[in-house]
Amino acid sequence: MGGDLAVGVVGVGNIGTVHLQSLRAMDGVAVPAVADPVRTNRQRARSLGVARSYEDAEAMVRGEALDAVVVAVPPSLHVEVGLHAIDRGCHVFVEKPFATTPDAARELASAAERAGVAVGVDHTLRYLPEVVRLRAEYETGRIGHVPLAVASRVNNGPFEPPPVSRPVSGWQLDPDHTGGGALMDLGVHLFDVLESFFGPLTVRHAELGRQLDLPYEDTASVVVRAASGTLATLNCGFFQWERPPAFNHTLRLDGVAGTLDTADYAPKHFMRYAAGAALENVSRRARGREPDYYGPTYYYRAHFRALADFVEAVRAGRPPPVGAAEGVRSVELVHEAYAAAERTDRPRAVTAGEAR
Amino acid sequence: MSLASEWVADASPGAVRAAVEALLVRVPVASADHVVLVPDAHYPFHPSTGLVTNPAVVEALARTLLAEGATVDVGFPPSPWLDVERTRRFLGYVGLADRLGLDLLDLVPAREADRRRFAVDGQVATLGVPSALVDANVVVVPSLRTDPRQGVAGALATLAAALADGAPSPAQVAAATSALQPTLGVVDATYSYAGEPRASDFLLAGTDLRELDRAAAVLLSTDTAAIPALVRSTGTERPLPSVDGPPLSALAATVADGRAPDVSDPGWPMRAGYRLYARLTGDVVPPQFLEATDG
Repeated sequence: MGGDLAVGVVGVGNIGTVHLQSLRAMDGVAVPAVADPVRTNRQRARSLGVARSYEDAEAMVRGEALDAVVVAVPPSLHVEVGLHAIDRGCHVFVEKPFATTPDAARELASAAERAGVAVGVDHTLRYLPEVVRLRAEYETGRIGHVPLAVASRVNNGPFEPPPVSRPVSGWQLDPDHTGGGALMDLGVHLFDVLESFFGPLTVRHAELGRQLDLPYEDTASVVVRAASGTLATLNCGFFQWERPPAFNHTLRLDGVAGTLDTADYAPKHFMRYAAGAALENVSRRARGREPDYYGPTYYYRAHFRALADFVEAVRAGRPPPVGAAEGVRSVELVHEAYAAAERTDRPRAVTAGEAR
Repeated sequence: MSLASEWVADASPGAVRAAVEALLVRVPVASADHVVLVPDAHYPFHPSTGLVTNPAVVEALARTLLAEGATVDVGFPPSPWLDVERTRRFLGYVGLADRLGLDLLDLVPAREADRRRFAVDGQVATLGVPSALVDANVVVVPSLRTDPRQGVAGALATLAAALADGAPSPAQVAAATSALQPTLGVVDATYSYAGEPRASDFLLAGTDLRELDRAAAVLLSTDTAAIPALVRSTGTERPLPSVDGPPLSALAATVADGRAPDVSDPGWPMRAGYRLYARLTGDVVPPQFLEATDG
């Protein structure tokens, strides 16, 4: 592919703006246009240097000569917007969850396959520095087989920690738009990470909870088993205040020869980490090097690297490392967990003296 | 005029009800034909944070008043953060209303023609009484929490939120009881928030909302001189009211001594600093640090 890769961004709210900024920082990438129904979002994108903005995604992909499209709209719209882009022969990078249902996810994946375009999915947890380091250690084989694993991710979901500074986003409270609660939004990442370590998973048990009377679960715990024999627990929730750059995610692997835990590789003090990352980028600049983009923000850096991997794969004409198959699979697992949580064959309570 | 305080033995509904009953013996709700409880439900924070009124306290108050023969409803002013219908549902008030057969009232701001102007300490505050509160005995039920805008988000601020058209100014908070005199204020400190949450396990009640807020300021280690509404409405020189029950010093020991978080959005020094850093290094700026003109 010669010349700049022309990428359009659909949805330039919070995470769409992160992607926009990332793309504009990448060599050999141009962002000629964005689409967003919200006027202030379009204005912000224009002020960041994007030449054209559209209210409607379909109008953008028809009106622009794009090589790829980033889809950062509410999950209920991923398939519709993705299909518009694929119809115009664009590669697509889709926010997670890939779709709100397995059928919709498969429809999008099939359309991309038929069109011969690449699909990337923004499963960022794989790109967190502590996960990258933990994987490297795991792949050396130094902890041997892993009988037990625990993965967790907890944040404040659609709400803010105090003091509140902005209204709650309406679509984030609507399960028709989100496809679910904490399990769909955060659990989908955990399924993806665990399958990337241990291969195909089977959902054995799932429990959902609500700390507030939300229209979806704000707490979930799922037990899965891998074909390799690893038994893993996923815990996720929308109930805890998270103040950036702090980031509540853990992955712990208990192997027969030792334990690996992301807590050993993640920053102990996020603010101190952020200051250090900023100083490192000042030093890089002084040496004439590119910054480690979004370094001080910690989490956004993982988004940058996920998108950079997609762009690099598209340029090289090879499949992105996290593609449609992974996107479909993680949505399937979330739905299997929802089904497991609804099963009625609950264990019976054991009263004192009854167990044998 | 004295206040009354009561420990809450544990978080169970029975313990909360027992504390409420003991409290209402000492500060009875006068003329309790029709009572509207007005809790702090401004955002769907979990009640264990102390940032909103614990619905368990509202339920205990409602059950106690219903047992005394009153009719009881619960009123909610609009919130700028989320529509009131969803906020109260998320906090569990819909279930509470179903259990007790109560109505949940929208405290719609009074029409402009029905608003009155009040002078407080040289400033004018415009307030109106929502129609749902006009003939009611109002019981204000704030949480015990600091607030970056008001100093203490106490009984006066909770009442003013129901009387102002939008977020109340300090002058509106100070003038609130001039527009509507509640029957009682009950500070819910089953959980408190002063920079961070605590399980404080007590209730504090009184008929004078200013005195109640002065006591709340003491409990939250907040200088009353820094609370505009209290300075405007009462001055700060008077001695603290006496308390019938556990003393303020014992109650205060259960509250965190942190400060209210800075309300600046998200903190202009940090935003300016990040943008300077980005210019120096060529890094990109995350959305929350972009200037308003960028969006």
